[in-house]
Amino acid sequence: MTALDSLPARRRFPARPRRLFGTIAVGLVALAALAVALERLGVGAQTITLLLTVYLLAAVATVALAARSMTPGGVLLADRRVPAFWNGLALAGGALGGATLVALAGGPAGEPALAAGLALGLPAGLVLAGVLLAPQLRRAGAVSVPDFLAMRYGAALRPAGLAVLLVACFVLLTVQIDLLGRLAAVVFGLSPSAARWAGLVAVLVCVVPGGMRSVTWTQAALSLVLIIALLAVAAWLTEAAGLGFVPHLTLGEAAARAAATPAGPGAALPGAADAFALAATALCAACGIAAMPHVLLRFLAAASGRTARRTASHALVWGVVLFTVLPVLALLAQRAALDFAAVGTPDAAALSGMALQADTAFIALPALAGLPAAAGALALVAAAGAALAVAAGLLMAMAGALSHDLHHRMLDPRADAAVRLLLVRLFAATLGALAVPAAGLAIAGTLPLAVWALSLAASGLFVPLVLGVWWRRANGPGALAGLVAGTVAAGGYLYHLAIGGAPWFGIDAMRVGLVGLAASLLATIGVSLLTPPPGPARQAFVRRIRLPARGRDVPPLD
Amino acid sequence: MSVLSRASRRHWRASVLLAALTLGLWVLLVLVLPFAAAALDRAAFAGLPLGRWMLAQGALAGLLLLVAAHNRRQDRLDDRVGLDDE
Repeated sequence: MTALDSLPARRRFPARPRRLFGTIAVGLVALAALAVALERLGVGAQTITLLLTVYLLAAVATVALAARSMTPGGVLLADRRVPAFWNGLALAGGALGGATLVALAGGPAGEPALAAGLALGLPAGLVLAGVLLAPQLRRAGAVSVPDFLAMRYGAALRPAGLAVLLVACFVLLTVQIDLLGRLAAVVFGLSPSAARWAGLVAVLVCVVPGGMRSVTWTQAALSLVLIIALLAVAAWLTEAAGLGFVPHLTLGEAAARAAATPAGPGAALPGAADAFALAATALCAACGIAAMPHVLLRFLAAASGRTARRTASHALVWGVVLFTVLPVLALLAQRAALDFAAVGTPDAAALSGMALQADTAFIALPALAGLPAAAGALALVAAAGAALAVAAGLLMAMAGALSHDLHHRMLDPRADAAVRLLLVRLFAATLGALAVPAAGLAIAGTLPLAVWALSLAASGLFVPLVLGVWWRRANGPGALAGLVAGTVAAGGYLYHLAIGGAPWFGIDAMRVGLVGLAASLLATIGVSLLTPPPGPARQAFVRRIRLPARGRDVPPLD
Repeated sequence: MSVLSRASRRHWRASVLLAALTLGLWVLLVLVLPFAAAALDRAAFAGLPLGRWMLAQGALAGLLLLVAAHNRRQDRLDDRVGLDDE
């Protein structure tokens, strides 16, 4: 800590964001071109993958260290000064990236309606967050999601909100660590356990130097790498397949080729057969992502209420660019899986291992298509960037909330700023260290675990947050009842199914969020109406956050 | 009632209306579309049955337009109260 302290921290970082991120982008493309040339000269695939991975890690470490911070405002909320464009770029990777995106790009992993519902629901959730929550949460000046709930509803919501935050974020974090571990095992040739620890170190590099400040700018860098690498791989694949180099426009042709049966070009895409499952997954994912604390934290760090709203739309632009290419990649993977079954393994043994795991098939696609090793390395870098961006955001959301809500607000309000800043880092390291063995348990696949984490956030946090802004009559007892009823109903229903209970109304384990959302909505409204309305101070708070406010700043960050 | 608070009430009512309209269209694109996809499949777009194309790409493009429109209108509402927070 002292070593970092002695370095002069720049007040405004980056002084020229366009130049910094332009350099990172150009560097990535140049390195990929160099890698193609190197392979012609006889350099092996393993070396090329290592080269691009090291570039990603070096770029991330450079940005993270330059964005170091030693003030509570910087560490907890990036000084609440992040402009909409860069905040949106960071949110694109931080919300929509991760192991989920990699799994969706890898083709038929499990149930089609689940993948299609997530692909629709995750971007749709950003719309919900932007319209319903982002500007108001920012105007409240909250430091975390539990902090907002406590401001709006009273102190009882702080521990309850914190508990839901921790569980939802931790579950999603284990998914990212699991993917990072599998990637590190391929690149560095480590054992699965050692590789997960290596993955955690990379995540901590994003979090520890500057807390939210370094998470913000590393997420922006990681999103940029993810977008460039994923689009480059997609264009490379479609061009090599003779479909054209704008991957988004090749969906029809790709679908026609992937259809194993002569059932027409739509047969390989999810359709109407499972409409309920698809719509229900989309609703759970959308409400979940809109209530996930690592997503909302991005809005809290925005420069203003309007900036927070625009953050969501900027992120959606990137999200749509990425997510409209996912079905094309999934179809190419489906086609490759057919060829793979017919022809057998390509030479790279590690990559063929990736191909056999449904949720990492995307990384093996370039090798299966016979592309140069640089394409495979770009796919791996895209996956690593996606997982790192989400993991860093999750770890920051948990560590920040533990430091602010548990330590600063509940245990020791007069603690020194230095202690609080140290605690953020210690919490991040501890939670990460707990996530590594948890990731090794592999309780369920990538998509089910991600869906459960999102469903928990939807069940416990979504309704109290949204009604807190949009319904002035919602009060503390109602919100607490909603939070508890939602989580208990979702958890209880999952248990009911796990012990072999019959599903109600066709709601299966992947859609428990529906049960949680309904219970949460009923309990919040019912209990609010049965108890007295919120007092004048809370009513004034709601009026304040509803109105754009120039000149009236939010509570200072110590 | 002060001028400010009357203006702020008008601002809030308009914002609620705008959000409700946006959410209504959101529900059509995200929750109704899966059920309507089979009917839409009778038409074709971009070499695919329309319903399946909408699910894979069209709905996302629609969300983008939706959010752009919401942002424009909300900005104008906020500017009208003269309390733009930037």
